[in-house]
Amino acid sequence: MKDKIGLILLAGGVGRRTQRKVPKQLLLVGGKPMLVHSLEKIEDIPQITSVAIPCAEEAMEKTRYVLDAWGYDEAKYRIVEGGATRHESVSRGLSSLSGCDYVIIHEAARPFAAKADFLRLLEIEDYNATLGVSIPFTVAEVDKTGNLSGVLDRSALVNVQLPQIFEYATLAAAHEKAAQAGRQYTEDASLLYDQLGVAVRIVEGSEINIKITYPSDLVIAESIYRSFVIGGADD
Amino acid sequence: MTSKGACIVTGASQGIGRATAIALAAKREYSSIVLVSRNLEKLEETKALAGNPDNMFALPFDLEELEGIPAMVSSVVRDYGDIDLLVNVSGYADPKPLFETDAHSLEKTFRVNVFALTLMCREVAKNMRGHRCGKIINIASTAGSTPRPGWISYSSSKAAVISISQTLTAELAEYGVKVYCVSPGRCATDLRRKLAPEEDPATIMQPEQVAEIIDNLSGDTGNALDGQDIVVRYQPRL
Repeated sequence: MKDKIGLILLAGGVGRRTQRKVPKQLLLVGGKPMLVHSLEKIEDIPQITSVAIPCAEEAMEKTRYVLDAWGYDEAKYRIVEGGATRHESVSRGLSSLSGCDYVIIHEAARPFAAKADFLRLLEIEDYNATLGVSIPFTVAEVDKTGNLSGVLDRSALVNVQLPQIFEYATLAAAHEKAAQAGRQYTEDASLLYDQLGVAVRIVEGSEINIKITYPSDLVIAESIYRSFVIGGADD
Repeated sequence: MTSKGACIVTGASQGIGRATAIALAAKREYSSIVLVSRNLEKLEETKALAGNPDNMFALPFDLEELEGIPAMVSSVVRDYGDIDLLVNVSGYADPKPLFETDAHSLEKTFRVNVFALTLMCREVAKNMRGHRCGKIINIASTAGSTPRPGWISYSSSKAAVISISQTLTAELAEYGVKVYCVSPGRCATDLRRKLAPEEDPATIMQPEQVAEIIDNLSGDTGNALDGQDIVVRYQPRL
């Protein structure tokens, strides 16, 4: 079982794509702020000793207020100012978690990752692992003119989900190398593999672990919450 | 032999709260029964009527003091352990028609019936969220779901209690916390005397009959009834 784990909970949204004035991580799902759904899954896992929450500067005060109201103290749950991109927010989160042996990366926009998902990442023997699910639809390549230029073999593809776990030092080295090369990534398993060639194990994810991005996702999220989390579908 | 943690009954100095405390004490399921009301003397009377059980404790507290509620609930958890049941009975009525209703009357009615009840739910739910179970039973009134000309502040406050209970049923379900709303009809309490002074209390439902329903809800038989507005009416045969 891995130990001395820091967790980065990405919460950098400003509500642009969800078309809301409230930052995405604070939108309510099932009457509860989105980021609290994730914190409740990890709060009783003793191996996770500190949590860094990168968020936009303008959302830091409100996010702190929400964390306090839900009982997440400042000593363990620290808000850090996010970067201009997701990649930079992860880098800043990493810097604030020095001293950890492992780091879990998760995002507030995935409120339905289960506690069991986090525990499987802790228990798996591989040092670096990410949740992922098979792709149930066709993915095609498109050229610059907007025409189909190739069909990808979906059996060889995976939809990468969060959370994911990495050896702290390895991920920090990969970020350092990417910075020197002037490269930015939208996800860290890809960064690790691309920059260092390090193996990242795929752990079976879940179809309900959706990422909330668009307004329609909020409607789907309420339905998932009612049917799969509290288990009481309406009449 | 007790099998559950602590319970809190507000408004336990009289009426439905007192009858509920006595009914719960008889079953000896809770490790501690904490009686909350302003009047210590009357709480001690309730305790005596229950047979002075060694697990019943009087906690004099004025629920109008909203700022003190978090510390009061914390003291219960500290002294008696995790809370498995909260019964919010405490209520206030100042029945007046609209043109006689002033801000003070409205404010006091909502302070006791709505604000204090909600804050009690919040503070107790914090504890229940931690141990992933518990029941909250809020006492509303049939006045909250049907018009009561002349009782605008009271009836609207009880409508709020019904809504609060149904909302919290959904909001706290994930933590295994069940929230109930019991709406008694005419019941022979001091509060009812204020609402209908001409009525003969012997001709209407007695607090013990409502307490029996609350007691049933607190046990396993009540598990399927959360989220409803449970109307309790009883017409004695005269």
